[in-house]
Amino acid sequence: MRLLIKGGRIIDPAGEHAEGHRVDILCDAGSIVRIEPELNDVAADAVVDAAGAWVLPGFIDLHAHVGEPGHERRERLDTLTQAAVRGGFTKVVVMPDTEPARDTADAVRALRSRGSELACCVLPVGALTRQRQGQEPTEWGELVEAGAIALGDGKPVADSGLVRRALIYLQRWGTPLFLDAMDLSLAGGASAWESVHATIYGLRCMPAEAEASALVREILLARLTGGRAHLQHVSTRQGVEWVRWAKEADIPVTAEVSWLHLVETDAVLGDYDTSYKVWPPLGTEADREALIEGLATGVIDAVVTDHTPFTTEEKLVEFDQAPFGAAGLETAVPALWTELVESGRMPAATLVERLTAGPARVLGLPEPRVAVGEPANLTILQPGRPWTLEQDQQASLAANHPYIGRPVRAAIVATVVDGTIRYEQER
Amino acid sequence: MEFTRKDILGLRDMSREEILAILDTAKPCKQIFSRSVKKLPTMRGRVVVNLFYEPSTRTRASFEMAGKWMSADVLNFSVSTSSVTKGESFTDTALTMQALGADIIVIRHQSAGAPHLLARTTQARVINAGDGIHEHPSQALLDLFTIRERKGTIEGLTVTIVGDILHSRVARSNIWGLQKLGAKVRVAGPATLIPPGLDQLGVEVYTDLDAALDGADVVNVLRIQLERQKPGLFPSLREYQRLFGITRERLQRVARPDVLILHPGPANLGVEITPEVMEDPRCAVREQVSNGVAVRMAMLYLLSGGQGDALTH
Repeated sequence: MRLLIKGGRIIDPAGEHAEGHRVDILCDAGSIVRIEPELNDVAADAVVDAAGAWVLPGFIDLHAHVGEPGHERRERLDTLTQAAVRGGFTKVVVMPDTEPARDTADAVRALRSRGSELACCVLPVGALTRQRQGQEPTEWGELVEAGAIALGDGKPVADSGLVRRALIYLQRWGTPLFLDAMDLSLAGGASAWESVHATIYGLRCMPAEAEASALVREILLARLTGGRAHLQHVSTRQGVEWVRWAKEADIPVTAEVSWLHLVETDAVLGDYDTSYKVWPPLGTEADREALIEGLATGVIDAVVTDHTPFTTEEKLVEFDQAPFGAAGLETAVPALWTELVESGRMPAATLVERLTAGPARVLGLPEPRVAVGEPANLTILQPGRPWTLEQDQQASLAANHPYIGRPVRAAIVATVVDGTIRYEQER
Repeated sequence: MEFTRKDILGLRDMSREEILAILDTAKPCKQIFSRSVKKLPTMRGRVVVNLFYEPSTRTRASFEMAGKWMSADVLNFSVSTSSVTKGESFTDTALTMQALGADIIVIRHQSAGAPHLLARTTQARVINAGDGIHEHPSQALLDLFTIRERKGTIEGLTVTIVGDILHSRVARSNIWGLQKLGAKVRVAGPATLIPPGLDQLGVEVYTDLDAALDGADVVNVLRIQLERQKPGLFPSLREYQRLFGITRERLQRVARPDVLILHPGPANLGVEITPEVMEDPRCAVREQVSNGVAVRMAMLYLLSGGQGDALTH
């Protein structure tokens, strides 16, 4: 399969390609084989017109949830990966909160073996404890050797000793530990952060210290052990400050932020739309500002979708009884591009870095590049293009998509996985 | 004014004019049910459903009387927490109510925002009769009505709300209503029962009751909701009574002689308020109950398309 991408401009944060040069890119047998100002005389099986668009390294999502096995009506692996490529992602890390939990080497291998039939690469996280109960450890080494890209329960682990031992043990493989930092005894059933909005809307709320105190524990354990702690979905101003402190002290932590926390605040909760009930809750405008600043300066390494699909009947309930989570794979990047890049708040290259090289470093993978000899995982994004995701157009099965029907000014034109077009938007 | 709103979900999103329209309509309603023959034909053929997810005697009875005196058919539907845990979904219940022919659904629910979900789910008109710790608009409206009746106006008054502000939907609705009608609002209670950010709403926060009562024209005494108290929010009822109880002695010492005392009921006698104060002529607690029916008649009447001035002719 020879694929020609015509007339795009490259942003390649991990490489040396200067931004903005118009090029043609030829991919063959899954790799990029030529990048030249003009490729006219080559035969190709397929051509993508990228005029006016950016050609970017394929995005990596460090944090998504899937319902297979156990909750296939929420999301299956095929619908998840179709949604991913529509959103520009060529690799998706899936958390182990399936039913049963992904807590055995067999379960990890079973997911890995699905690879070829899915629209993009799926990287499984293995559960840290049996049935994600936070008590008995799983067989950590077996999970990693079966192909778990990271370990983590996808929920707070109260037992500090267990986290300490995992951070020590996993160093043999260099595998990161994914940590959902939250002190649940302070969180107390809350669905919002303490703020004037939570007071007005009558929502049960918790102090930012519920996140901060747990982040500090993870950071101190990373310092103690030298193990790789990855801090999931940092969501408050205080949280960003503690991560900055850790990085300035050269403690081996990495951090992510969810897209929704960069584009929305708790002001939206007054409509009691459960699509905005996420974990951690949406913060104040000050939190959002600090998260954007943290992402821009690299205190936060990666932006993630935290795609958490639920069915209509699960989400169409009273706000405080609804489960936490929002779908986001298909709209995260267009929304971020609109809010951060089109508005001039962040250079395009910075956002792309946090979607590509940043998450690759967290996982210990090579940084994806748009360069000759590299795997042809590419995302073509057209800035400024008006686009709206309608309910009946989404690939995801999720009923909890906050950006359904909301216009954005950026669109994913095409997504190439291993040299094959896996998504192309109708023009 | 024309009342065009589909639902009454809270006072925060209501205009001053809408609030005044309800209060003005409640006035002739009160005269009607003070007569010996109380029935009005205004809502004949209309169905009002009281959909209560939380136990309530007073609010439900008040809405029931309000509906009956206007000849509506009133159906009381109590949903126990057990049927919720059985998996009976909220929206299914809502659509069942609609299929039963409900024109207006009066809902009380322990979750903030449940009336909003109901309003989105059904075509019936929705009245919030208390949702979690969010709003309780009919209670605030009857408090406003009572203050207007006793004091003539609300503009320029200082109103102190005492008690568990954190868990109080009555306090939140009162804050919005009072501010929109030009009153200055103070709250007083244990610091652990004051929600964050009230100062940003223009509310003065006190933890010393004597200071909060000084110069106040109205004191609205909230019920300490024993069932909602998690242990440790304040040390003991005895200490609460000493620091925040409204007693005749305290009133004589610090309050204006013409202070108006309100209480949404039912009172924990000897805790937040003493029996002597309940019987004091400055305390309007019994009138509040009657005014509650009048205000709820006005709400039902305006939502079912009645014009505010039609009742007076």
